[in-house]
Amino acid sequence: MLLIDCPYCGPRSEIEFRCGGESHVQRPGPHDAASDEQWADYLFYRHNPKGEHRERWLHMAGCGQWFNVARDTVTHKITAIYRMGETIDAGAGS
Amino acid sequence: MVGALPAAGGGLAVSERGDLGIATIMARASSTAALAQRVAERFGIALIDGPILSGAGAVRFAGTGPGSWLSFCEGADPFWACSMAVQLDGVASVFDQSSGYAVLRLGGAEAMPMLQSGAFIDLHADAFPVGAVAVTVIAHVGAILIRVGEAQFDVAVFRSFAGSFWHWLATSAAARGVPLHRFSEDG
Repeated sequence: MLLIDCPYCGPRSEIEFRCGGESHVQRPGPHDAASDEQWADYLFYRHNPKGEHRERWLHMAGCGQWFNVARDTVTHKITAIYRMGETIDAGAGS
Repeated sequence: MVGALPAAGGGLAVSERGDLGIATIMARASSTAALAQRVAERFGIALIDGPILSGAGAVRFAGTGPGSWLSFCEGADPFWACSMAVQLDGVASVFDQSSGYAVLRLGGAEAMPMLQSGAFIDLHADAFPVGAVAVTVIAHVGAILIRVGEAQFDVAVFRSFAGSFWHWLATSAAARGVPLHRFSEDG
C-alpha cells in the first residue's frame, strides 16, 4: 500500500488514486509530419525502468486532481511529487 | 433538532441535515481570485482555496479540490442554487446538489473514533482540526468529511449511497459496542 502525498489533500491511501502511467509522454506533431515510428512510440512504447519512474496519478476519490509522482519501481519509495506541466531533474527527489 | 445533539457524551448521535441547500462551486479558468473577491463582496466570507471550511454563518464553502467547493446554506429555499449562480455569474459554475447529497451530522465522543475506523486519514485534532475538510472514501463510498466541532462531524455522501453508508455506520457502531442515537429533525 502506497501513501501518496496529494498536493491538495495531503497524505492519502493508494486506494483513493488511479495511476495514469508514464509522465511527460509528448504527442508527436504536426499530425501529418509524424512518422509511424513516432506514433508507435507515443502510443505503445514506455520506458519501464528499474529505478526512478515518473508517472501521473489522479486523486480519483478525493480532489480529482492529476499530478506527477517520481517513484522507485524497486522500492516503491516516492521521492518527489510535482504539478502537471512541471518537470524536475533526474534523481531530484531522492 | 441538529442543535440539540450532544456534542460530547456517550455513544454516537446521528441526524440528517435535511434543511440544507447544497451546490458545487467551480471557479472558471483563471478566475479563482475573482471568485474569492465576489464571495467576499456578496457573503463577507474569505474564501480559501484549500481543504478548509470557509464562512461561519448560514452559507459556508467546503474546499473539495483546486478551485472547487461544496457550498451549504442552512434553511435554503428551493431556488437557492439558482440565486447562487446569479451571485457568482461569470466567475464560477454553480450546480445544484441539494437533492444529490445526503448530509449526516455525527456527534458524541464516539464520532471521531467511529469515522477513524472507516476513513484512512488522520482525524486527530492536530491533523484534522475544526474546519478541516477531506474528500475521501469510507467503506468504498465517496464521502466528504467536515469537522464542525471538537466532537462533531458532517459527512456528505451521494444520496443514492446514503443507505449503504448508514449500513456501514450501524454495523460498525454495533461492532464497537457503541450505542447509536438517531435523531430526526422533527424531534
